[in-house]
Amino acid sequence: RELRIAPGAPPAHPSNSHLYQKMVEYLPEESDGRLTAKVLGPEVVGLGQMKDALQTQIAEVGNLLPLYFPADLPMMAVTGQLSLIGTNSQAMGAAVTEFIVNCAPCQEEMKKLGFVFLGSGASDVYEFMTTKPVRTAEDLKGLRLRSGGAPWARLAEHFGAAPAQISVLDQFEAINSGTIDGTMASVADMLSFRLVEVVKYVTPAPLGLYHSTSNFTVAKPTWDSLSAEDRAAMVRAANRANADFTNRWGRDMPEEAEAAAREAGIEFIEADPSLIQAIEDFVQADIKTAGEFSREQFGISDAPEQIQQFLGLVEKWQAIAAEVDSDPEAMAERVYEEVWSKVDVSTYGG
Amino acid sequence: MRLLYRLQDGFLALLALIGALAIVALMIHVVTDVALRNTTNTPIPATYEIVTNYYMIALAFVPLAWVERRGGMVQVEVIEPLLNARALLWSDRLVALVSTIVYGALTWVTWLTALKNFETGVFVMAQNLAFPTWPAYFLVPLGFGLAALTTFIRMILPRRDTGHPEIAG
Amino acid sequence: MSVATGFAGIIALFLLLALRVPVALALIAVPVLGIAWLLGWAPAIGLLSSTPFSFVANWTLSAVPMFLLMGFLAFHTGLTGGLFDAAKAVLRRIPGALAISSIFACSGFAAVCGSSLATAAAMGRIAIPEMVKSGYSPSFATGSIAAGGTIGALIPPSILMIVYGVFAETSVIKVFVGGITIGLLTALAYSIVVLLTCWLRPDIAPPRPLDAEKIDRRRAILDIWPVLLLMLVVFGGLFSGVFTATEAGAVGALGAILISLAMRRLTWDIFKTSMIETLMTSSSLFIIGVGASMFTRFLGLTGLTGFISGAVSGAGLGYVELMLIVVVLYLLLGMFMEPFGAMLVTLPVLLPIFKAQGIDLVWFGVLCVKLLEIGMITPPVGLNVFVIRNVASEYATVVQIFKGVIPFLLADLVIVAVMISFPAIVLFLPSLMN
Ligand code: NA
Ligand code: NA
Repeated sequence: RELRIAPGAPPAHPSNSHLYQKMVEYLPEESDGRLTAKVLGPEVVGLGQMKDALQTQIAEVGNLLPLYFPADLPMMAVTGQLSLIGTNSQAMGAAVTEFIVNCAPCQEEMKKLGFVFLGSGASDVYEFMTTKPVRTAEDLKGLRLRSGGAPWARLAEHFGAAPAQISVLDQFEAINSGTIDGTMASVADMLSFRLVEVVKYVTPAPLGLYHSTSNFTVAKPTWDSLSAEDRAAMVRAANRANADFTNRWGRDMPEEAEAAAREAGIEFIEADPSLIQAIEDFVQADIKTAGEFSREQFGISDAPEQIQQFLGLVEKWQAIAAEVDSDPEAMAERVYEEVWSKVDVSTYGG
Repeated sequence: MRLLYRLQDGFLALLALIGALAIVALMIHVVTDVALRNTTNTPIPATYEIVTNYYMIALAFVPLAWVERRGGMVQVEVIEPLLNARALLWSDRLVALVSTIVYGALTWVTWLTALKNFETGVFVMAQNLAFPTWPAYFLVPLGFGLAALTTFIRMILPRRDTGHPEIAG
Repeated sequence: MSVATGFAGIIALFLLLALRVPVALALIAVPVLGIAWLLGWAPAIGLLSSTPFSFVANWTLSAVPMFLLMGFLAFHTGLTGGLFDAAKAVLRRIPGALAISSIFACSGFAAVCGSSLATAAAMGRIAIPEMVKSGYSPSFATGSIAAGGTIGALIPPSILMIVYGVFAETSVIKVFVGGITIGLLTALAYSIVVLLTCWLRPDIAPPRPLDAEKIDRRRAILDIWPVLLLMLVVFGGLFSGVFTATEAGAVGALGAILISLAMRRLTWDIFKTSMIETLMTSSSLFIIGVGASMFTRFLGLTGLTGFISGAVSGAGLGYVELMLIVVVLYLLLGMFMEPFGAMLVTLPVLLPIFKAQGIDLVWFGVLCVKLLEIGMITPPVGLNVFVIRNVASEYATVVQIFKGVIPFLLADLVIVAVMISFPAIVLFLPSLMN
């Protein structure tokens, strides 16, 4: 059986090249050729259309970003509120995966949409990419920085910078002409959005990372039509691809982008220890804000408790990631052992 | 019948007014945002979301019935020169029928979407602000529904007085 | 099997268009029925329910109504009339001066506007009435501006080029710089078309403006300051980073209102008329956009686009054969698809081939955008032609505009041939940047 699968991103993006193309490769391997997959490009299903496309079976498996649909996936949006805490990509991908598989309200909201969750991934740690040097907290004052979401907006505001909402297509021109002074994002954007041509300085700092993904979101009718054997095969294929994806998105691509940035003469600035400390302090304090924010905005009464649960998993997976040096194959094995082997596929997602 | 037309035209003018207000609001909102960003470094929150989800949706969909009534929908007139008045009238009716079916289908499915989004209370995150977008989804079936009604009326009571939109308003 | 459905969809589209079904509705009906046939009703309904909102709720697109409003206001208040009078008065001895000035005005407008549609729309309202008044045939006048609008995406800023740069992982700025050359070359080629037409067919393009004698030269030249002021505000703000290219439309529209108010030229009637025209054009255009996007999604799902672009990857073609096939591929897809969709379905197939053959990706970026822009003026789905039909409905039908476009399309093919034969023309300026 051939499944229609939709990454919602162009071929060069890791969620296409190292997530969905890997699925095309792994699915027949894991299912002894019973299952194959055909990729639908972003011109057929874009990220904003993913929810509708899955619910109406235009696509049968899709890359769903929960932050696009916070009203439908409030519990998953809560983990998004904690984007600042991440320091290791593989650890965060694994922690989010284990959290969502075992969190009852998360499973409930996926079920309500008619979706089945098969794991998450994460980017590398974000950096300041600017046209004015950022070394100290003082340098951030008054800067206009593009922010990709609420946590980074809070961080920018805390340091007296103005968070700007600029569309990804406009950001190139906006930085080029000085409408904004830069962005807080993955250094991979140097290549993904060609910022290498307009940015002048990069300041690495503990700005968290992007981990709010549901990499392989399976539509319920498709999931229901699969035998337990086929479901297990899909879980194994997804689990392998998830680790490959995070390795590409969180490690290989940033390395390439950093090399390209250095070659382009972009200056890498070492932030003053006082700025690093101030950001770390803010991130710790922001955990409480994120809990209250989620309680008020998303109506989740036990958000602070859920967050504690999540933080415990983050700690656990950071230790594991350190142990295996974030090696994708080893990570995939550990996630399978710790999470998926404990899942009964005949009832999961039912 | 004349009363029906007058009622219809008056109502359609109201739709155009809503669309025009969306255009003016879009212009003033964006310019104010630009001005505030450059003077006080405090842009208007949720500008991006309001422009895309409200102004754009309102100006595109609400005036559809009015556009239909004024013959503003683009057609390719390949066979038009070959048709006599009678054939043209029947062709108009056929086109009105197809239009009514397409608009009707659009109305139905976008209405279901709007209801679903209303039940969920759909919102988007504008940085730190949860900004509701579900009301905007109702503008789409409103626009399509009234357009369906207009083409339906044109199918049963055809009139060829406005083949092309006369610009003078 | 599904590829056949794609072909059937194209035939059905032709049929519906010939039966006078509005373009937008034909573009919506065919993919829905096609997907229902292919995958069942649920996916068809999904396409129908999600595309309208997701297509229109788009930030970049918001520049279109704003630039339209600016153009309509400038036309009705006569802000730009001074410019054309001046052009007619000063250039009265040059054949076709008015059409040529309009084409270069498109190029100037292109420098503040990221999209070809907005360029065609705004310039169409301003220039076409002036051209018809001076004796150009409506078909030629509308065709020249529909084509002139395509310069909007060739001269930076250009959203299409940014998307290409991101996709091909190549320098956006170099593609921009290459685009300047080809944008200006296009304007030059179009001007030659005008000159030739004046010479061969004085009945459709008068060598001299019929109303030039009546113009007071000194007054006309003094009368261009309001439009210069407007340009100064928009250019100045854009290049100094006060606002982005998308926001420039709103600034331009408000600027036109304020300048015409200050000159006491803006009456309530003019304001109302401009609003009505803006609304009519944006609304009908966005519905066509919704349809074009649905049709693109449909062709993607059928695998037809993959099938056609896959034909290119066939065994070891030489440079010339490869380029010929690429050109034909884009001309075919450009007939039916909107440019972003056509780019997204072709690049994944083409880029690896080009990389293997060592073809310069900056060069191809410019060529690709040029080819996609040709699709904006080819039948049956020519978005620039549709927008012109709306802003100049009292002058020409869609068929007449498509006819008027033909000589400019021929010029485009010559430019494409030149770009393929002499890549250095595109790459000269970008190569100076290293
Ligand atoms: Na441009
Ligand atoms: Na076309």
